[in-house]
Amino acid sequence: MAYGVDCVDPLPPTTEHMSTKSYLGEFEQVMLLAILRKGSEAYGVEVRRELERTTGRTVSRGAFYTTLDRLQSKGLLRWSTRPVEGWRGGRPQRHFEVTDEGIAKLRRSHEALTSLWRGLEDFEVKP
Amino acid sequence: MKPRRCATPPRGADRLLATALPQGLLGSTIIGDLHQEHEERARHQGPSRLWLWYWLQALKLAARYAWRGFRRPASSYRRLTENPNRDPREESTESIMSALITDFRYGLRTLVKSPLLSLVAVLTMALGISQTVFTFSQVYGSVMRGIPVPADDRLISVMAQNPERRISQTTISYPDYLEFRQRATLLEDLAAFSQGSLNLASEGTTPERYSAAWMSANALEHLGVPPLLGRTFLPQESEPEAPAVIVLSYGVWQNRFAGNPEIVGQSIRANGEDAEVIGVMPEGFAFPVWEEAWLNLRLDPDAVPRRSNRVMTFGRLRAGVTIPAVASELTAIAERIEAEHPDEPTGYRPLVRLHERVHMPREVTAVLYLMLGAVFGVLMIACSNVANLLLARASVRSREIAIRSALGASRWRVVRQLLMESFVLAMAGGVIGLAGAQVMLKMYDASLAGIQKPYWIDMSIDANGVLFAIGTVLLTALLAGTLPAFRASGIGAGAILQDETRGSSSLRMGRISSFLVVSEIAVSCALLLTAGLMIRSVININRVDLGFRTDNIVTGRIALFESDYPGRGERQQLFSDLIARLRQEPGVQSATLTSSLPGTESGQWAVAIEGRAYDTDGDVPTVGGTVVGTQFFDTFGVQLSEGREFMESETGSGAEPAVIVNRSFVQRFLPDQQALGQRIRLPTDDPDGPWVRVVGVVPDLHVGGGVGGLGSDRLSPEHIYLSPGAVDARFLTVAIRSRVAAETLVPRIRAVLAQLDPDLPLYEVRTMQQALEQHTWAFTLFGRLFTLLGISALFMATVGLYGVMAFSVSRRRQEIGIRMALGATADRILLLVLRKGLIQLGIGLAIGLALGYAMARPLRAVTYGVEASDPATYLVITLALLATGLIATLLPARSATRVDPNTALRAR
Repeated sequence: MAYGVDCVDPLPPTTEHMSTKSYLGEFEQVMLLAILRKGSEAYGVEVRRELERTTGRTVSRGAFYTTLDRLQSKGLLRWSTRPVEGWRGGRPQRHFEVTDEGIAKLRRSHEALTSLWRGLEDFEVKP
Repeated sequence: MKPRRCATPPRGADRLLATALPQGLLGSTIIGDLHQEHEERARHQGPSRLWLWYWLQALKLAARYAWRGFRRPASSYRRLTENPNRDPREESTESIMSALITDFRYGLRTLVKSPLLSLVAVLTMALGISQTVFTFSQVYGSVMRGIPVPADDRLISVMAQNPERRISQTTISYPDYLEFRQRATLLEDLAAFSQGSLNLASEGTTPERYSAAWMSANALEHLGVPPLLGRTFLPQESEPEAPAVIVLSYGVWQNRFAGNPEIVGQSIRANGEDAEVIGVMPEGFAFPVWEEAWLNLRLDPDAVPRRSNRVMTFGRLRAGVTIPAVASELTAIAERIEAEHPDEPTGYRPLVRLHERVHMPREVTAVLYLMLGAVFGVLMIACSNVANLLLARASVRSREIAIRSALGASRWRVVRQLLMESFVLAMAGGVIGLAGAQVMLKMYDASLAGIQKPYWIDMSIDANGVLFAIGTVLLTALLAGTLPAFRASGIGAGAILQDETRGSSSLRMGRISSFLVVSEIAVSCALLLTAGLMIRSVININRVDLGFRTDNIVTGRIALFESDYPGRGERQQLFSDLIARLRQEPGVQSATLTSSLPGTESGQWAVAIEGRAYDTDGDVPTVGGTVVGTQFFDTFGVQLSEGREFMESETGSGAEPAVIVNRSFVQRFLPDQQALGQRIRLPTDDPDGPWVRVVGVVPDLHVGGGVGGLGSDRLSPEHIYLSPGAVDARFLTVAIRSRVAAETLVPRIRAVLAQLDPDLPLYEVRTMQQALEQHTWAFTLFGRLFTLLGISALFMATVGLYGVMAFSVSRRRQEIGIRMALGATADRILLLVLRKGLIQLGIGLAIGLALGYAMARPLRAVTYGVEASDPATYLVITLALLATGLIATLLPARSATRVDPNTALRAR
């Protein structure tokens, strides 16, 4: 019994499994949403600008890029590059795209928030 | 959109980013983003702000990624950079930064795993680094930082010298200054000044005494430091009849005048004369040396004789002009002046030196540099110790290293790893060392509190000090780490892995260890020798037979100014009234006046002996001279060998002057004659000056030398004591022998002085012992510093020797076990281990003694009564080192004899 297979966790230890247990951080959420909003225009500079515009906060470059890296390593977004010429010192642009998994997580976070808000309508600011 | 042409991001920032960011596409896109924003900003931002912005962003990004790399293993970058479009060649590329960070983290881990070794290594390095930074700060603050005025590297002083009369450096005459200023083409300008004390009085306050400089009108403007308030001098204010004007220092303005913003334009009493305040200088300004106020120099250029007014000077060389060039130009001018005034031959030649050198004795500078050298010796010992520790550990880890090499690690990779470990150690040592240096500087500053030093000397650790500390840390890391790293990585992997005869690796390391230990012993021996000589000097200074008593004497100085006391008679009246009243005070045993206290310093006088002919000025002998009042020798407890002290009748201005000479004077100038009644004349400038009769002969009293008492044994031993009637003295020191505790008399002295003149301050109030201590500070100070260096060197060398011996014994346990199993006795084993240690000790000592002798020779300037080859010092140091070395060797050797053959052979 001590070495038996029965005690193995029923879920395989994948990223999927790990991520279902945790919610997205606030910054991660706004980041993914900003990428979704920019759509085909979701390049680094534009996404950061969108973030600053919608949240009204300054976003440090360091935090921005390292969060993107983290989201990618969690499998929530992917990127591809587009070559440029005549500007940016000839350096390629990165285009970001939220993965299905990322969208699923965003939804879960949204649902969780919505259910938490349920019954607290009095506190919501009415437009 | 096309960016503006000027808007290229700074390349340095890009290079930094390329190193710090992940390599490959990922990094490239991030830099691209930054470029894009840069191009957009270029449309509405100026190039300098843009440049700053870019650098700031680059630095922030680099810092973020460096920190992240530190927290996460480098391999995670590889996952991040994975990209379908990636160039396969980039796969193995790892950013240099992150690799270094990995090394750093690994180094940290290894060091934490052996805490004792790391602690010893860190403390050793801290000791070495703290002393190095401390000494550097002293040298840098004293002689390297320079004077805080523009172009201070071109700021020179023109003085005069007369080698024939053994006058190495003196003031120049005012008319000569004017000629130099007018005719010299290689100087931007030349300013004149004279230093002195300034009594400041204003209504309702007690008078205070300050250091002041009387400056030519061009001086402050030429210096290029603008005043904080008001203005500096105007050309017409140099005229002999111009009214006095004064510029205050920030300190005087704040403390004496409570920072009154309306001070400019007010009139204050300066040395008994009304002077208008025309300006206030900024905080920290005390040029030329330590002045607190500046007045206009008003000298009459036509005064006769030409040499009656003497001044100091400063000026700037024109850009690109050297000091020798100016010196030869001024010499030519001086020769022309002499030709134009054939009636006044002087024999003086201009001497041009950097202004800051004039006010910092050459001896002190030499010793400071020597100390910097010595402290690098201590640092070397510290590095050798750490190198030995690392070597010892590297030999233990030789298998680990061999396995890594076998698995494909390049030699450079292994070396880098080992170097990083020593760098981590040095960094920790550097942080502690810097703190230590700060503490030492605080203590050092406190011990120098009573010493007046040029205002630009500031020994705090500034940005350059920190930079030096960082350099020292890097050097330490390299010195300590290079040898072990290359040594350890150079051992063939196969040899180690096949090698089952345990202990052989220690033999490979052995030779380097021995070399390091020998150098450690040599360096510490040399340092201890110098320390020993310095300590002997301090002992000699304290033991020197001064020839006079110093107990129960209190002293204070008084300065009289011509404005308050215009006539010589008035001045002498005040001094004799003061002494007469003081003698009536209860508790006063005797009271006297002197131009300088015995044992501290003295003037030099040229004296002509009656009945001798002197062909030139240079033939007139120079002797030490002091003006003393009645009861001088009584007050200092000196018995006259012949004759008598001065009488009251000899102190007045109209009185017949008299002189008392010392034993050496008699021996040199009046041998085989009755000294009493002979006559001498001074100064020789005035051929019709009065002859002065010798009325007494005293034993030789100790005379002090220049700054800090340095150079005292090079002064001429012949000395004369003149009665106040012989010369006009405006600055005199009161010395009182008391029946009660000397300090308790101070308020009485002040009260008596106030009765005579309420505007006259008493300054430099101290007991005779304090006066002497302040005068010999340099010996005490350098003695202490070298002792500190010597002891830390000895300590580190001992620990180093012990460490190496102990380690070598522990590595040879099996060999010793075999020897014992084959019948070697404990004595033989002891001898075996001892022999190796003693040979190292012997070689180290031999080299060290020679090195010490070489170092002691330049030290002669600051040693007192000790030869560079003083046998006693050499013997004591050799014995001390032998003893400590023996103990350090004996302890491990004894533990070797306790090796149990059974255990030793079975142990893996």
